[in-house]
Amino acid sequence: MDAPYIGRLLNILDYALSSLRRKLLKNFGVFTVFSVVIFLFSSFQLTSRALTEIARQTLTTAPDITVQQMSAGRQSSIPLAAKEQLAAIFGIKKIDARIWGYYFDESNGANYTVIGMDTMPDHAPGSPWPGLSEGRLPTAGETGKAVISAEMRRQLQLGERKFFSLFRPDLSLASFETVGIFSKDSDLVTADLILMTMGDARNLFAIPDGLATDLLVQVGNPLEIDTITGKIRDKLAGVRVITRAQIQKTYEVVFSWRSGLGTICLLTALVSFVILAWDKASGLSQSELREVGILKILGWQTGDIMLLRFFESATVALFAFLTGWLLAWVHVGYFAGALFRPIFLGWSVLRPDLAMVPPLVFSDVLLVFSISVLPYLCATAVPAWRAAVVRADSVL
Amino acid sequence: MLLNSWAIALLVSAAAAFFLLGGAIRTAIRVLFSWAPEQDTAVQIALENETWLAALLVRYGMVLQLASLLLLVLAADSFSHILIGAMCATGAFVANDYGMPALIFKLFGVFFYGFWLVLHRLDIRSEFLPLTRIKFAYLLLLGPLLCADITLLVLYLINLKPDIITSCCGVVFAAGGAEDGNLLGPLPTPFVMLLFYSTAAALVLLALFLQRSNRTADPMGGMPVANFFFGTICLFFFILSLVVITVVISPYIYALPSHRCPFDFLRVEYYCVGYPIYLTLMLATFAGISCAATSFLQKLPGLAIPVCRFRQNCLRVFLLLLPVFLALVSWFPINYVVKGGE
Repeated sequence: MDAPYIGRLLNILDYALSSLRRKLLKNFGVFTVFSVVIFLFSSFQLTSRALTEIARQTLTTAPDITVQQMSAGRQSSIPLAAKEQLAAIFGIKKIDARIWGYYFDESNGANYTVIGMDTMPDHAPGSPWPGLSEGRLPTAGETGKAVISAEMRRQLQLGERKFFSLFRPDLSLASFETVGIFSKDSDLVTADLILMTMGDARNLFAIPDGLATDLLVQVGNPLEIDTITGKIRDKLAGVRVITRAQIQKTYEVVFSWRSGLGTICLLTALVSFVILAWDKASGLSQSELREVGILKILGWQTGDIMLLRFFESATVALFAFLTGWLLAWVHVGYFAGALFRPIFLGWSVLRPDLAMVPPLVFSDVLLVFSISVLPYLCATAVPAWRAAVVRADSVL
Repeated sequence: MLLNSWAIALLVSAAAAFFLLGGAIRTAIRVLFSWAPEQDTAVQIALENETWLAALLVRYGMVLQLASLLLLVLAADSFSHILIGAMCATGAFVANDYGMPALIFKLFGVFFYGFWLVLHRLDIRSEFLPLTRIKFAYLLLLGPLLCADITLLVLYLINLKPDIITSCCGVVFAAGGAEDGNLLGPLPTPFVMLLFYSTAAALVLLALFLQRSNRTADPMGGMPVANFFFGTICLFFFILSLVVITVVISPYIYALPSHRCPFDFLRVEYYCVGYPIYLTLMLATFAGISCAATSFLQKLPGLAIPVCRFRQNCLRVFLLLLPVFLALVSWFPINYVVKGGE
């Protein structure tokens, strides 16, 4: 690249910037609408990215393999005897039984998830558990102790009180004392969760002895998970075996699908904007035509004027992109993606109160850039040419 | 899997490229039927103006193709989180029969668009516009190429099902060669590396020779045989480099002998080293082939000096980027041999 070539580009860029300043009002309209379109696209992408990250972080504590009994295509209770059958498989580190189910609270219309476990996977009894912001976990053998989320404490209107009651199926009351609160980081999965011992959960749901909802298997070597999954399927008839990787993929599929759906809906906004940009760029006023005429008389070539128009569009697009992206960042980071969160997480009474921190990923930037800026630049190509081939003698 | 942000971005780019090239092809047809540079009619003046538009549209089309090539690779990387069995972009590309062809069409499409722009650039340097008919006839060929590209892309995206199990790069590019789905058979490393470096050396020597002869010889006289060889070897070297990067170089980048993948080193974990590697390789190949392909244009009226200058620039770029590329890819094995690892 020789110096005159770069000098020519810089001069045209300089003229483009001064031209933008002169037509501030016209360009400000395009800039504002474009920023809003980019804000919407980026918000979707950043919310989806942040939620995927949260799911990934949260699921690191999930068990390697979950074993559920199926009956007539639906999940049923699994006999605890299955635990002994699985214990013989080489490579399994630990098997925990779990009772869990949903509890519908008629007083506020919320559905709670109740989980009963005697020991947490990867947790030595007595030591502090990282998933809690305060208190401790209920230990095996204790009765009437539970861990809930801060959101749940609000919903149950507990205030400073520690005790709450839930109805058994026969409408008698089971009383619980709050011994711990889940940390906010895991709100995606713990916002509606009540954790108690297995005995308490069995008592609350009236599940007979010798049965559990599912078995949680910890595997020593992560590379063996798929092999052990196959062995479990061979040993136990009619079970469903779910690995952590599958749960992770399901979350990603759901978020990617929802973000795709949102993007499709936003395409109408993009198309309208492209039409607006085309229209704005095509409608040349008499003074703009005169300007092109004068430039041509001064020796500007058609290519120079097309480059000038490109610099104008690119500058508007770049500023709109930065503004839209930053606004989306603030929207997701500080307001937890309030506009689009219901689309990703659903409309439940208990809303997870998430702290979303979208990481800056190059591919996200490129994705939003190519879905917004490139179509805009393409839309201004033909108007730029129309403006550039104006003959000086016809406008002056 | 059309309902995914990446798929939608790819389709939006494809649609935009389709409209841009459609506009350019409309001009191409008019030029082929009514181009008469010796006349001074209103139709001819309008056509001359339209050739500017066509060039602009193809230029935008090429930028879009480049962006969508990058998008396709990043999209495949993103799909790999969703597809069962896929751990990187390779798994996503081999998840159905259309992935690899779509990638190859996009990759070579960028080159073909670039050649059109080279023709256009040279054409407007001569007051006789001697290449106008040729470049617009060539533009008509880009239409079917783009249609094939878009069709493969749509077929790939439609047939991408998250519940179908695919393979990861460990299987697809495995050294064993016995398993199904292995894209590259067992290759004797010393032989491949010898071929790689000797081809590179031959290319550098040939480029130096062409640079010398192009500088000293009469611009009217090309060297058809030397140029043909140079262009063919450039293309061969491009394909050989892709194989060498995948099979020999990539395990050194990952510091894992069993990990052979041409996409993973685009990730941040490997400092995005793939981008400079592929960019220098593609630009050097493009410059080399452009230099060879334009040699026969020197005889056209008014093009002797512009073509001579253009070819000198191409050779300069080639001689600058090829060593950079070689240094980049050789750094990892040399680092391993000298320092004994990371």
